[in-house]
Amino acid sequence: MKKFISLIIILLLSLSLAACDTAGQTEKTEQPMTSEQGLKKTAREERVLRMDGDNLGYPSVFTSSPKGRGYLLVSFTFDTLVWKDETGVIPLIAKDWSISDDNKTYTFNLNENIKFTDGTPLTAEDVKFSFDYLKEHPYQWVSVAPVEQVTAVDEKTVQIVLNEVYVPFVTDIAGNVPIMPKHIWENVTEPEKFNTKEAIVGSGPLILESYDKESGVYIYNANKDYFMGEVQIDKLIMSSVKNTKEALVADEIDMASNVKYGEAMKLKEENSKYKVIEGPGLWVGRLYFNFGIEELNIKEVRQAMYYAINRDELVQKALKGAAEVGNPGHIHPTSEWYSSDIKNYDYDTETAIELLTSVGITDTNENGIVEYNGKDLSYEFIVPEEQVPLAELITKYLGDIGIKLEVKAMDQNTIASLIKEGKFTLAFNGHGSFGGDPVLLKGFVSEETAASTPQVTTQGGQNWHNEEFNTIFNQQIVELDREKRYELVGKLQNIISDELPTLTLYYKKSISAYNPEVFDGWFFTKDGVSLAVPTIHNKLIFVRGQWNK
Amino acid sequence: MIIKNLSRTKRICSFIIFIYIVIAIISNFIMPFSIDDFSSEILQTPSFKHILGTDEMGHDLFSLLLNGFKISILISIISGILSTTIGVILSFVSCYYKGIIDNTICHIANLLIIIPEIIIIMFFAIFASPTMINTILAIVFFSWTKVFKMARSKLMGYMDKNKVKYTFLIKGNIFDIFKKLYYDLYPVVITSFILQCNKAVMYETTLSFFGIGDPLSKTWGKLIKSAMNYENLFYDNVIFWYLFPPVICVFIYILSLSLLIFDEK
Amino acid sequence: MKLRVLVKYFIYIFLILLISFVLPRIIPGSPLSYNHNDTYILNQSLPEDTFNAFEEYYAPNEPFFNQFYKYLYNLSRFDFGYSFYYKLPVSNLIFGRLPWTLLLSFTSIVISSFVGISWAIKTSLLNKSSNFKIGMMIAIQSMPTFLVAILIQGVIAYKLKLLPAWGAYKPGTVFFTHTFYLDVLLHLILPLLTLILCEIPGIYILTYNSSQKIKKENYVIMARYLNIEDKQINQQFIFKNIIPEILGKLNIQLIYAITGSLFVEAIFSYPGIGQLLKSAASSRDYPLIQGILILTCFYGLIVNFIFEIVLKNNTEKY
Repeated sequence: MKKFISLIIILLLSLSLAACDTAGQTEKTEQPMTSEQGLKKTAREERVLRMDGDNLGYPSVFTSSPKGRGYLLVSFTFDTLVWKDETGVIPLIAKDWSISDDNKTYTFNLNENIKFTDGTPLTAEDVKFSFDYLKEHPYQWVSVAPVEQVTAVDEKTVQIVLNEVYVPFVTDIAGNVPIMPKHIWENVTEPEKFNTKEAIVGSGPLILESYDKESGVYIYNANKDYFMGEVQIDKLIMSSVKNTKEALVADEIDMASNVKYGEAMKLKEENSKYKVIEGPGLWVGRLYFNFGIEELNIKEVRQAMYYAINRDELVQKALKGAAEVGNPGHIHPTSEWYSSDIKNYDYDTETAIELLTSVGITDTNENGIVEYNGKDLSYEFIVPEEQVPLAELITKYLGDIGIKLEVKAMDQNTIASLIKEGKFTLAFNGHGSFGGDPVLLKGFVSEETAASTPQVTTQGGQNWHNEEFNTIFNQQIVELDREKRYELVGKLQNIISDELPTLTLYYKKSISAYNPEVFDGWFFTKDGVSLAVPTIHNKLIFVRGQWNK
Repeated sequence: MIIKNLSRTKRICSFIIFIYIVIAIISNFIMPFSIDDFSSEILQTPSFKHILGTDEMGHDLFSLLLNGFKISILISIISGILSTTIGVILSFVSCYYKGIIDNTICHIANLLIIIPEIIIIMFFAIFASPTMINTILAIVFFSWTKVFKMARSKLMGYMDKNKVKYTFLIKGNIFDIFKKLYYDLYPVVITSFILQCNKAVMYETTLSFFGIGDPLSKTWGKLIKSAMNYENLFYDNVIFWYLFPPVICVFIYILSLSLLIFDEK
Repeated sequence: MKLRVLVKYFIYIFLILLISFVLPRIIPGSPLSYNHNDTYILNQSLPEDTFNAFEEYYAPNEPFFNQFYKYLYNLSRFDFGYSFYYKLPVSNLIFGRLPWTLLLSFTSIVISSFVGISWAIKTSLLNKSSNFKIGMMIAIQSMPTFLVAILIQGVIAYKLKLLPAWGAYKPGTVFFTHTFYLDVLLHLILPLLTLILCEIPGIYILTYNSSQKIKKENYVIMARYLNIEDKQINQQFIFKNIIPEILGKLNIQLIYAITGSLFVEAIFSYPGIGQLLKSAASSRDYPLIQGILILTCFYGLIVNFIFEIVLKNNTEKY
């Protein structure tokens, strides 16, 4: 009997080893091993920082996810001309810059000793090349449309000329165009498929060691020659973690950036070992309308829906308090561009029903659903899987005024694509990139404009159209006087609050928890990293943080 | 009179099932709150007003649980009836026509035993639009095999009996055979019906938990899923009134049904 | 006889392919349903790149037989289409994850059949069985696997924090070192425990019933008459005859083991097929779920086929 048991155990072990062998091999082929890094074992223990993350694709410029977080992964290996920290814009590749009197020409002086991780120095030619390359191959995160011409004056000086005055140029374009090595990328014709080891040669603080595309584990090594100073960690492991808070407490990760608000609050309460920090809410949850549906083009219908939704209760119940109530003017109330001169929609079912009646939408056949021209106002409502409670609330609210919703839950990426392509009737989703310059209102402009925003913020299909809005938007984008611009932006918010091209439901609070005994110094970036990405993943932490273990 | 023939365990089980069905029927009247009423304060601990406390949205958990009785048992019974019917009809067809038809049905049944039922049910339910009816259809279409096997082996035994031969002799059709054998098949039908009810509730819970089916219906599986999604479930004993009640309800229901049909000899 | 078996399995394979092909086309609300006369509606409900991949693989506009032919042709080259969610070929995904699933399900079946069979034979031979024990077994058996997994994970991993709650190894560990193997073992314990717990009752009840049956066989009764020692009866007569009896039914248990392991993996985020199934379910990843269906079907067929042969060889001996 005992013999048999030991035999079984041996069998079990050998089986498990065999299985791991095969499992490991498939992953190993994807690892571009940096042999030097592996060999160079220093005396002290390797400083490995472990944090949670999502699977966001191969972290090269064109292959990563179009979401903000995808861009941030790219930013670990690719530097930009300027960057942001908790105080605002700071120099990065460019040590300083000057702006011409007509506000159209920017001259950047580059730092001297920057090298790409393959050893070639970064020059003005690479900067020029990167801008030109993005012009030729449109990049979903940042558009270089406002840039007319880039010239490399000498090896370390770049001059960028714009078509028109573009106020947010430094933060939104210079701070986001990844500088790619010309000698590698000049031969790349299909960047969307470029995912070799060469595609991740940049000048940033980290070097990708491996990426497991199935489980979404990223392993980065420190760039020992980083020009900003010594990188404070040796290795970064980012993996998709199932339960972030538990993983943090169980010491499986040192930084929980995806932690849920309630969890983080609980952690703060009961365990002082961990630090919990809150950042600005730069993620907006909104209800999208498809303007291809006739009755949704009627302003009163959208207003009635907004009246019918109890946003306070929504935030409290569906979001568990982890959000701030949405502002009808779309802009976040704490933003310096916020205007209080807007129309308000306090929860009021009576007014909502009156509004519907005023445009002839009533329940004539008494089936509990209101009709417009004899057609029931009954829609398919698509929501991300994790937002089913919110969908339940909204279904109830709109049900109260006679609009019937049929909820369909899908995964978030699918919803985002469907919205981007206009294939929906009513949809709920949200996005980051919602802070800083009011250029973020571009999503509501129905004509071509020079302004640049990430594609995640826009909606496809037939869009809302308002001539006045378009005009004012184009005025403010070239307005240099801050006072005057504020006034114009205020007008835009007023129009939005009256017309409601989208129903702004809430702004998600961002929160992160970490173990300061391992690595400390985390901070939230002013207006969000890059284009207002509301996460803590700012690459400067790798240089500025303190390793405490 | 049936009850008397049962052992003590089975009597208890049938009593429990009876209670379940009674609760399901009267659930609408004893529910303290409506299921789409989320006006209560969120995450309360159990009290007289909210026997099982409230969830993160302010639903009364006790009402949701009662509603789970209604929906889950309804699904269970409907799919039980339908799949038993399909199984029995197919077994009659198979025994009456014999030959190639019998062979084909048998092969399909064998195949469906080889393929794990739940996988093909999930496959069906994922492709179908997310409604309650489709969930039931998925369960019905792919879980009749056991009924079919049981009924067929029973029927095959009767095929040689005189009354059947006689019916064939006077050129009776399938309905005549059905009339003749209906009573003999009675115990098999009851057993398989209970078995199917059992399976249906198990499958429905699994599907709900995997997020397949109507996202807003409040079954036990959905309740378990939302409990599992609540981030602080493992603190302050929330688990006892949020996760455990639906789990226990599912468990006792399935257990009673299984014990009821378990052959003690 | 052999030929008949082969023909039978060919029919099964054909039926499986037919089911997996026809079902998506007749289910109401399916994106491939024939109610949609043109692909316009589908194009309205799927993102662009997904739609393109979908159209390329399924070719919903072509005549039925061309589609089926194309389907078979693709399958014969192990081309299961392109996963919408992972944006990777389904076959890569499935075969990359398969080792973990096999590890989990095979280890569990080995352990649970050893424990289950020996326990059941022991109780049945020593006449130690009680209705309570059988009742307990039925109780465990009637718990859906995923519920057991949830309870075990919640209590042991989250509440008591004794063992890792998810995954197969700590992310970022270097493969094939000692710590790695230890890590894998630690992560294996809970899912394995769950699976074993769920598999034992089935095997126990099965074995118990068959050994009870054999105990009443004439040759056993005869042996007792002849005053052959109990021990010898147990070893020579009963045990030897139980084995083929059980082997004949163990195939069903093996098939359940793989489904069980799918659910356990989904709960414990074990990087096997179960996790794929979970994400396929939540993201309506049709090609992926289809690939998983075909894989499990073929697994069932292969297991059945092997057992049919084993059974033939064994029953002929006795």
